Amino acid sequence: MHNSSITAETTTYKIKKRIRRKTVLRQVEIYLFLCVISFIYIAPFFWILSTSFKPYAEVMKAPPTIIPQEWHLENYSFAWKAGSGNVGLFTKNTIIVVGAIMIGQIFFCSLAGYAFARIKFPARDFLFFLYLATLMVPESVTLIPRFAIIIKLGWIDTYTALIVPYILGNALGTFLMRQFFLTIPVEIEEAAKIDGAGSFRMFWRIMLPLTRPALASLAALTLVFNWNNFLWPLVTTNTESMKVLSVGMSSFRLYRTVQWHQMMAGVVLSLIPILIIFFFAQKFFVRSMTFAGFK
Amino acid sequence: MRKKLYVAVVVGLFVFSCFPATAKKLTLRYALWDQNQRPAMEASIAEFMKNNPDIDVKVELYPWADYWTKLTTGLATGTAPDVFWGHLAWFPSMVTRGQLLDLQPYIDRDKVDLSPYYPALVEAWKYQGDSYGIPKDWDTIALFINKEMIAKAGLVYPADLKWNPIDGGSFLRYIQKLTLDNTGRNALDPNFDPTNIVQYGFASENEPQPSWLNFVWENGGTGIINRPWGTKVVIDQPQTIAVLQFLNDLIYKYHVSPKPEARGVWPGPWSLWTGKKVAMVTNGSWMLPSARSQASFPWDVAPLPAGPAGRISVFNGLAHEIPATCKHKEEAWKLCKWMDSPASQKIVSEMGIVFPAVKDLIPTFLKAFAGKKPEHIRVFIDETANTGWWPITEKWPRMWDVMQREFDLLWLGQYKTAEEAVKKVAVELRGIMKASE
Amino acid sequence: MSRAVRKTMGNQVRLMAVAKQTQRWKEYLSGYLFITPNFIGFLVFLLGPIIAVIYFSFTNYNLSTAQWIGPENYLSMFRNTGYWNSLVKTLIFVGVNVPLQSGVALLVAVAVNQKIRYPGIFRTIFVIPWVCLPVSIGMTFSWLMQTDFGMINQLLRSLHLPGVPWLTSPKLALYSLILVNAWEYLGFHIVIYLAGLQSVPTYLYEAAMIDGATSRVRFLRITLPLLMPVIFFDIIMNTIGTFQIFDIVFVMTQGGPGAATSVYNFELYKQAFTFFRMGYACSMAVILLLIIIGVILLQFWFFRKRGSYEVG
Repeated sequence: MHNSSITAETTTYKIKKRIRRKTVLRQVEIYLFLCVISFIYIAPFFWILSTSFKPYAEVMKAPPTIIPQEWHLENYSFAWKAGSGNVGLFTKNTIIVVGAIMIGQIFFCSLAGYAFARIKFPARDFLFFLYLATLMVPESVTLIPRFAIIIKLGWIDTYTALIVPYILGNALGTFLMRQFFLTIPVEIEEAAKIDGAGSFRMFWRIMLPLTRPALASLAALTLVFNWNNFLWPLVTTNTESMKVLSVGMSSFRLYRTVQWHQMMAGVVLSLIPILIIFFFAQKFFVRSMTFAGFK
Repeated sequence: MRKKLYVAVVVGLFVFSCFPATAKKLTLRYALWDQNQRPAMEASIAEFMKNNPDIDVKVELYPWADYWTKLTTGLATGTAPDVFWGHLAWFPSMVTRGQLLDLQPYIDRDKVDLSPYYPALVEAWKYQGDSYGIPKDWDTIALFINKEMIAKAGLVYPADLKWNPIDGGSFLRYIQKLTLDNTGRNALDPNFDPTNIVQYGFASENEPQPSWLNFVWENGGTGIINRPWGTKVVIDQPQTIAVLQFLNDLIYKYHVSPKPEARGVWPGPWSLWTGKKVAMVTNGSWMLPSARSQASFPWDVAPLPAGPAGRISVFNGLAHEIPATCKHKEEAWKLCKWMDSPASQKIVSEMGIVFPAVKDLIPTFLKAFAGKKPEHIRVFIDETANTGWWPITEKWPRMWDVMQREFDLLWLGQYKTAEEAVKKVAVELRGIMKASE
Repeated sequence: MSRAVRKTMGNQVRLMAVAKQTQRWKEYLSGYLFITPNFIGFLVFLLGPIIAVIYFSFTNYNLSTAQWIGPENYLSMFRNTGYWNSLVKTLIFVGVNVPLQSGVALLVAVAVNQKIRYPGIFRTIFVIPWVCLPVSIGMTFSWLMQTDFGMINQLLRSLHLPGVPWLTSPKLALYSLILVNAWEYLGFHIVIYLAGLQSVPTYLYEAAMIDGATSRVRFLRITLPLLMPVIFFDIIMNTIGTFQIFDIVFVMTQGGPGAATSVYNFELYKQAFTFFRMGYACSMAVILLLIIIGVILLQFWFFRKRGSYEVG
């Protein structure tokens, strides 16, 4: 009796030790794996930062210098200013456009989403099904007719062309909001109805505030998507003064007066705004990705 | 109550963004592609606006690679700028589609005197006898050289290099002396290491205007088509094939030229020259301002190397054009007339950036240049003695797309011989010529 | 009950019915009003264009005139080697990118999900490229992959390996772009898988460990099956997204070298906006739509058995 229990203890002890060793080894493996991948992710940013401060001769040096030997801050003012890089103007345009889209989309999509979720009206489900069906249609398929519409309306080179199609015709946003509204208990509405709330007031005062987490996620998703949107602004804006960051940067790389170090300064400037927003609102971004996922 | 508020806000946003700030002045849109020339153009435009206080001119810059896409779309949709830079390569495709405003009636009515301009340029901008643009400037091609590297190699200024497709001539020997490996040996040295080149003598490029078209004519080739507005594709002449093979050999056989970069970014051979990796590069006079601001070493320009058929340069001239659908034709004509007038070109010449199309302003230009680099600026002017025209055909955009694609592959060493590439291109070009659209 | 009382009651009932009717109409009205702005936009910018694209694909549309030319566009499209090239290149892109991205993302997510310290930091690092401008990322990698001075080749040369012509080799360029694309969006998929992993109950793993299951067995028998719906969803999203690749092609190679990276969307853009063959471009768009629908249906069929597992 006594012997077997001692053996049992030592065996468990040995097993535990093996498991712990395996766990430690496993942990090291995992950390190594993650660190290698992290390096692949961080290195490019370091490199473009490094390039952006160098003078051109140093950029072309082989073997290269990681820390710049000379620091040329004027690369950044070159990239930012009008008449040369103009990244400042592009950033301003992008903020205006994306800001308007975010406000508009949150409003119109939640309005429609609420109606599809909670208000009964004929053909409601059929109409919603239409929305669903278009979700898998890529942007490039509808590009040409949408472009033709913009031309006919004379909206080329206006903020309107950049904003309106995304606040009024957004199927994904409507879909997400409707799904979220469906999760709100019906009792809340019924209670409000008894208190005599009309449809709009119900929506504005009661339902909308309840969707704040969903709205925040939708806002984050909208922000990223529209900030980085390229094809549509490329096609609808021609003049430099209307270019958003994505289109502006793409023509910036083609100027005859621009070289790699200035280009990299421009790239860094173009990334700063979104990175700042990202660092402050990280959890909304992450939540929005999974939110979009588990529709 | 709130509903009304929201409606008001939304409508307000729409109204705000739909209508640009309404001004009492008429606004004209002016488009160009060269950043370097922008200050000069703006100086001239400022003068115009002073004399025409009721017209406001907005300058729009689209870089070269984007310019034609934007303009084509604009012309087809009626949203093109009111006055824009025209290039002879794209002129035919636009004028044959009726997209350009015929300026002849305006020239006749205002009795604009075309005699101060180079006659060849005036003729080039005519279609069926009518002028569609008044010449603005002209440019030729020359060698941009790095004086430091040349001095270090113990060479003299390349005033008269000669080349031929068989052995490269004095041109090849010159650039071989300028190509160095990491031990300092040049390309003529038997122990030269082609896998460790730190400096190239020359940059061979897949660009017809600054690069290979010049060489084609210098070798006696006709070019891409038989004549301006011609419909015969002649790109597969043996002289042309020999030229492309030679330029290809510079990279892969003689190792004096670097391999080309991806098309996505602008910095190409020019960037290598300003970055001190290449000693010489051919390019047009429009790059002079870039050279001044970007080259941090002593530099100069030299005549193109002469081929078996002599020294010939691509000659091109820009002009201001007006779209046929322009909504403010009178005002656009006023601006167009001004921008190409001798008075305006004088302002531009004084900034010494491009050569004016007005013959008598050349001395003004040279004076503005005195003391500025490059020393041998006259080279560009001397090149005008023997020039050839850019291929003028309305099929140019599609032809260029084919040539760019296939010759990129040739320059990247994906074809065994230039003959293969040229024959393939010729077949496609003939197909495009024959097609009705 | 007296007739009068019955009449009043009847009237009351009728009034109530009318009131209810009005109430219902008001509700219908508000429903329609609420969706109207959104719906108009939907019609004008989504549904309308889908129908328009199909119509225009049978015309020689050039934004001003549209003459019916029947299947001409489709015929000339199928005869055009440039078209097939763009299709093949895109299929290769999707075929390599989706498994690569989803596969690596799954592995990384599993790694991050182990009890390591600072999972949040790793997750943040991986997600950063997803919020960055694709255009800027394209320019960054144009520089990194530059044959002579790019960081990657400099690194290789310092290890005495030859430099690789990432973007200038017609054979390699497409794969270089795939790598850039994978790098950019990996974080997005990692986050999705992380969320999925976190919904797997840990007691299952513990039970398996007690039974002596190795980590590989645990992964294959527990994680993978339970994650199937998430994997399914992720792959569909990845596929639809990858078919739309445009930004980095436009910025990094312009379809080159030669036509090596001329993907479908880029070819469509070129035909529409450089050559102005709008009708032709519309037929390309219609085929793309059909392809996407086909791919989605295929994936639904492939995953139909793997459905979702109920966790007792």
